[in-house]
Amino acid sequence: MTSPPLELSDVFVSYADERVLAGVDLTLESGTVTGLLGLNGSGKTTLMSAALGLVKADRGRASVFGTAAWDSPPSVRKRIGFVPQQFDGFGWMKVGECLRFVARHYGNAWDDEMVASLKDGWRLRDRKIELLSPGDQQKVAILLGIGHRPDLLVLDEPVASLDPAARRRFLRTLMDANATTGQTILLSSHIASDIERVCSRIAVLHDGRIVCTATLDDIKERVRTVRVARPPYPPPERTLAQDDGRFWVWDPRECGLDPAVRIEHTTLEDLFVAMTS
Amino acid sequence: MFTLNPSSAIPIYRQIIDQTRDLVTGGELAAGDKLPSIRAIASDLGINPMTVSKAYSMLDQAGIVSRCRGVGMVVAEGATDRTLVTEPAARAVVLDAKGTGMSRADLLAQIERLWEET
Repeated sequence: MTSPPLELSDVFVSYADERVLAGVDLTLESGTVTGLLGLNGSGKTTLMSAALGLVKADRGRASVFGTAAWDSPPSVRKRIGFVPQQFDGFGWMKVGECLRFVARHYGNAWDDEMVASLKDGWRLRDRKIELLSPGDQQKVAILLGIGHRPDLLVLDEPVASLDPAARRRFLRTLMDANATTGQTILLSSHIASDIERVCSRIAVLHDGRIVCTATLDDIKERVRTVRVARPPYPPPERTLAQDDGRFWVWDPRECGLDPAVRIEHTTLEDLFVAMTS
Repeated sequence: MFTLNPSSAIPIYRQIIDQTRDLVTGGELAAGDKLPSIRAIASDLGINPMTVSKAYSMLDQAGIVSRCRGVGMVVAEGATDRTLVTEPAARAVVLDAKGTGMSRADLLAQIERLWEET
């Protein structure tokens, strides 16, 4: 049995007095694409930092490919790619110079063809990085994070400042790479439709814990919104979230619900809002 | 070939299945026609390849497409079965009936009645 690319088990992280992660459990199976959802400030970036070994867990265990994330050897780190939300390095370098510099570290693993095709498709100009717009800086961050075709790719809000055409081009490249190399991807985004397009699973981070992990197909096929006429109604079994008079449940017919209540299909966005309100 | 809406309450794999079925029943795809590869669909539409693979497997099971060695996915012989036309709507009706706790007998009786009425 090979170890999962990423495994967080009961991970706690605090900054000064503030507890950000309070017992996070999350396992990514090889080749899966998982969307991480959470409100602003819910700790998505901290979760990713713990997984990448950029911050040390106060308690619990964060491992990548079976080794502790905090002191994983270079041979493991090479297999990981990270696209940070805010890119603030190499500002004095030109785009091409910076790409060549990073590519050299990876040697043969660097996929020049993929990087060039994405860069040209985006019409990214060869200027000093600090002079680029935030969107173009994000494009550089993406190229630097995915160029070595990592087995585990972690992307923190990678498309937030890209225009729709650039976003679509990036998602296409990402899915093409996933189809050929079967890389494991963890992606956070505020754009629910992007998550719904590329992710097979979602994980919702709230109050320092993962409150739900499920496949998107299951959510769409099995989770229903149930409206009840007269609250207080006893909460149905297997309630995922509730919000005055509405309940989000798995398989309403298995919850022993009164058939008279109204049952509706649910959207990921509604479910997310209800779970985190 | 496909127009997908990721935000829809209908899962993407189901949208691919339904649209393939429509192309076959509408005569735009004939038996033996080649379908795009999983990778081509995933990268053209920017969707998860596993989603495409799931849709193709289910279309294969339903006898609408078949895997052809060296060629890829092709439209299956006999894929123009009449029941394919009503399958998506029938499935939706069954799900609604189950969701509201309606019995199987009541649903069948309702269909019988509508058959006579229309």
